[in-house]
Amino acid sequence: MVMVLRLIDPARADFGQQLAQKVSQAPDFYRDAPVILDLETLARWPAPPNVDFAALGAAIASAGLICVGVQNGTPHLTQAARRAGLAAFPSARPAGRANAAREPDPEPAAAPPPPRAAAPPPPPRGRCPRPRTAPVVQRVVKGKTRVVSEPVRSGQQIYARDGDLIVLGTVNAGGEVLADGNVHVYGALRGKAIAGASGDREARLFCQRFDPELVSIAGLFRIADQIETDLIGQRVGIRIADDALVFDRLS
Amino acid sequence: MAKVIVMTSGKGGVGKTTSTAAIGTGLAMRGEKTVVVDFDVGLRNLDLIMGCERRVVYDFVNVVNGEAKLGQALIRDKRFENLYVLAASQTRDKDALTKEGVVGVIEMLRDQFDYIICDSPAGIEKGAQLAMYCADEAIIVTNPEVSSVRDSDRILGLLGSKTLRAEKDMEPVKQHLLLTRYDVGRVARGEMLKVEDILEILSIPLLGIIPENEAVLRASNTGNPVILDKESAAGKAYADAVSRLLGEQLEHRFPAEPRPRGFFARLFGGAA
Ligand SMILES: Nc1ncnc2c1ncn2[C@@H]1O[C@H](COP(=O)(O)OP(=O)(O)OP(=O)(O)O)[C@@H](O)[C@H]1O
Ligand SMILES: [Mg+2]
Repeated sequence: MVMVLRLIDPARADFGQQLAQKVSQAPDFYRDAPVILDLETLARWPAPPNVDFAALGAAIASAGLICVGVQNGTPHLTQAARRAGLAAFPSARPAGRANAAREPDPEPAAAPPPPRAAAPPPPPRGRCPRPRTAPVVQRVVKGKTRVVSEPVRSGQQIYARDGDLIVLGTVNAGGEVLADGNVHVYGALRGKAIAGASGDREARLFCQRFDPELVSIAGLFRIADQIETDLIGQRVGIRIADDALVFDRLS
Repeated sequence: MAKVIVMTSGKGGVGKTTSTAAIGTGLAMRGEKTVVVDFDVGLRNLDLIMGCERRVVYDFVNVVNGEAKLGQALIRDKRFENLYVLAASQTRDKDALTKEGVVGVIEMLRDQFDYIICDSPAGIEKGAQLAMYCADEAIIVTNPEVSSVRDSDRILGLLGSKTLRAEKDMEPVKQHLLLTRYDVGRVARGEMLKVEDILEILSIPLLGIIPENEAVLRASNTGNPVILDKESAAGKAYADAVSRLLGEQLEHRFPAEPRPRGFFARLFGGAA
């Protein structure tokens, strides 16, 4: 199920009502479905507007959906979304577009498939722990395998382009690690981890202590609320099988 | 060589100013020529805690703007002749400080002092980034609660990218964790995080654990940094932290919950 909401005019006050009406047409279909906001249209505005992502997230939540992230924004919009605790999914945005040239681009220039919700999501448990702070510090590393020996802290994002990422310490809540290949975390994973960021469905994700805010492989993802509580604190490996994320407990 | 230390936290009200005053005074008591610098423009209160608020004529912003000489703005402490305060302006807006201005003043202070302690404003924006910009070392002030630990983690990330040391690819800013307002009772009841849990998340060396202590409020009200209250639990803990900052190896005194004399104490004649 592809749940991507394209944001056309953030100033429209009836956004929440429209959404609630849509959801009421098929409440079981939409209940607690994760949603990604697509900012493509806004990014084309000559001067992209300021968007109150916290308010949008609240409007989406009161319509019974869960907003997990954004895609295709300008760097400015994406930063604002992150500040509101939303994940930035790698954009399928061609390099060198008018808006992209204006600011340094904190986005990985990858071309992954649009993220899709891992189907069917199990019923959520409690509220999604949203990071209060947003990644502002990004290091992009190219090459085969990248080893990170420092803890990945709240607000930091590390992206291993074209390769694997090995994190020797922890990924703290509010931190993000991404790789086009596999992601290995030898400490606790408390933040977000994304493997196969450019769409490689063979990519895998491993961690020694599993307590993430979000995990994703090739666009399939689960947020904290959708993860079996039995897995929390365990050594876990994640892969894709039959078009779904599979969580293996490692001994 | 002069050392610039920033007292920083992200979260507000965790004890940065209290700790700046206590540790700055403690370093001076140990013979180090020390200046404490208030970066909290618009909300100055370091001078209050240091007990010199009536003697502020010129401040940090005046020096940055060239309206006063550094020597005119430095206030000498009445108790220790090697201790100085550089106050923040109460009236100026937050944007009164510039990066170039700050770098210039800190460079001048480096020529005159052994220790320059910068009291950061709360937050992670410009004010906090200016306070950390010149730092050689950072004391991360953290309360045993999730939001404070999260903010400290965020600040640690910024130290690795938004400082002069990071920009110039020099040796990274040395990091110390100072746990403050540690309330043993509330930790024991599970209402606050344990020391081990905080260390596991932040993974930086522990400089000290300052207990929640009413002596701190008494000290602030009289303008005497709490380290001068040598009998108080907080005063002792700050004195230990100063020793560690000076390179001494001291065991951590984990604050113990006051316990009635129990079975084992009676059995072993009170030695327990
Ligand atoms: N160990 C302690 N025991 C009890 N109270 C304390 C302790 N440390 C600090 N306080 C109290 O907490 C409050 C905040 O302390 P302080 O002003 O030092 O924090 P701060 O981090 O500088 O705050 P701000 O972010 O507003 O600058 C004060 O009222 C202070 O007296
Ligand atoms: Mg303060």
